[in-house]
Amino acid sequence: MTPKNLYGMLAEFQTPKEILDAANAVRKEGYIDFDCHTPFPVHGLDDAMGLKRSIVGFIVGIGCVVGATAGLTLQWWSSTIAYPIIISGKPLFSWQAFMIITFVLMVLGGAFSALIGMFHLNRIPTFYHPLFNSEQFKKATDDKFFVSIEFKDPKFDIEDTRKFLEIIGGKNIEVIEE
Amino acid sequence: MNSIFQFKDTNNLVGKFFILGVVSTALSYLGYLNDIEHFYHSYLVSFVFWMTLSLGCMFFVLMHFAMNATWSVGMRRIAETSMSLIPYVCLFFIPLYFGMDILYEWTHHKMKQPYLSKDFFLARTLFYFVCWIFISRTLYYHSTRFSSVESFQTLRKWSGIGTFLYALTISFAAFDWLMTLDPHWYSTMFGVYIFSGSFLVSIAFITLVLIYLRNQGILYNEVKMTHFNDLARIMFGFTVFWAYIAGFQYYIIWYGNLPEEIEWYLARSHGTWMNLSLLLVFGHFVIPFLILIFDKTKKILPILASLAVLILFMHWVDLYWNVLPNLHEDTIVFNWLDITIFLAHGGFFMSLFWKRLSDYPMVPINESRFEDSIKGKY
Repeated sequence: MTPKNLYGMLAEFQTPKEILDAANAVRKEGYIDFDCHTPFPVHGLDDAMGLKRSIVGFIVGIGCVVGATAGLTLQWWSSTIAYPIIISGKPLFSWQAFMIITFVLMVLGGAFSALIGMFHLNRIPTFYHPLFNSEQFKKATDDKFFVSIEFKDPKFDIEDTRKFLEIIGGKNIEVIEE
Repeated sequence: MNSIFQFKDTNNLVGKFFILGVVSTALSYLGYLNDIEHFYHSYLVSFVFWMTLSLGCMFFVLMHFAMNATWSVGMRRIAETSMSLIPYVCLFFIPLYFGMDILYEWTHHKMKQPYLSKDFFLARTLFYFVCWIFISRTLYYHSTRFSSVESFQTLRKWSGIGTFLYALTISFAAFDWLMTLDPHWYSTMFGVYIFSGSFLVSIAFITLVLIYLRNQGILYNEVKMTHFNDLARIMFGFTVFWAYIAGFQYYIIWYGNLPEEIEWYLARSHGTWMNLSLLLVFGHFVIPFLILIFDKTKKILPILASLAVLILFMHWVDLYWNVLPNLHEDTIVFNWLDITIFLAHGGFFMSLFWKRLSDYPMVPINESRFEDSIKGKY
């Protein structure tokens, strides 16, 4: 019988080496909705967890195109439609002169989309997370390494997952409620 | 122990390139008798091409030591080898001494005195050569005899001084050799413009040589895919940097619209020269940019090799576009000399390159960071 508002299961590991092996094992077992929590960045953890390259680059690309288009359109509209004034004998739409603002707005669009895209992909800000209900999870910012497997994972089973985490060396296995 | 890193010229590249050089030189001499004006202009393009290529490699080595780099240890010797050929490339300058009167208008009309005088021009050129030969010989000498922390400290010291000298000399060499072709025209960005092309072409050259060696099964475990990925990233970065410099040089001069400045761009924006300008925009920037911007394409060696060839070709087009409108103002006049002189210089350069590469082990085996570079610890 599973509790009604279950979030998932948490297991503690002692060293970076252990968490790398654990992440590999969890991925190979076929779990998808799991995460690793470490006090500092562990090299190779992304590969061990099977994480793909972040898509933030594509978000930045879109932001750059939007920024550049906006910059060029603004100058085209203001200098050919809104205020068609001839300046130093140049054509109304002189793209060479508009390139600097277009370029700068491209950079601005790219910078904003990088920041906002990164925040969104990292789910920032998140005001509540069930893992913070766990007392031992506070050590994730100190000296312990954790693997959490979520209830929504299709392979999640309260008995089997507990056994599996014990086999791969997890300590202090705890069921987390919402 | 060292023998596995010893380059063996199994394909007889030294001989083949030498024959190419000799044959092309003979053909170029025929062209010299035929069209002396075009000869000197083509010669300048080709000379500056091979000079900027070896200077770009020198900058690669300077940055490697100045920045204390680890990732490039395995490929350093390729850059060092072409850097060590700078004295020979300097010898390529000698015919230009006899062609100065044909190339440069200011040799027979007094203008911008005393800067633009023959003696001062030659003195400056000699100074650049002395600086470059000194920097490249010093770095090559200490790097091939790398043994301890002390050699590393020596290299760091000279690379710091060398970077400073390099920045000044390559800028002024670009001003002197290329910008004074039109003595009225000036652009303060021109030195950086030539530098950006120079470093880009050297990265393309290093990539191409490494891919060739990899196909021969050489340096297979020393220069891995991650290193090619890094090279591709620099290639991408400097493609954008070149476009940035070239673009803003154009926009600023276009907007200022001063007679002595805009003339240079007017000459390149009518008739067939406009087609070459557009070829530069697309071939030197748009196509490499759109291909290299994606992460996946940076990891496919055939794509990198084709882009490296494209960049080498486009750097030549870039220099051609800089020099030749000085002679043929109305339209592009293509002459087979443009190819033969390039191949003559290239033949001798590459022949010496493969010969020099077999002088020392292809990787700095004594260096402690070599292991880290192979393991990707950087």
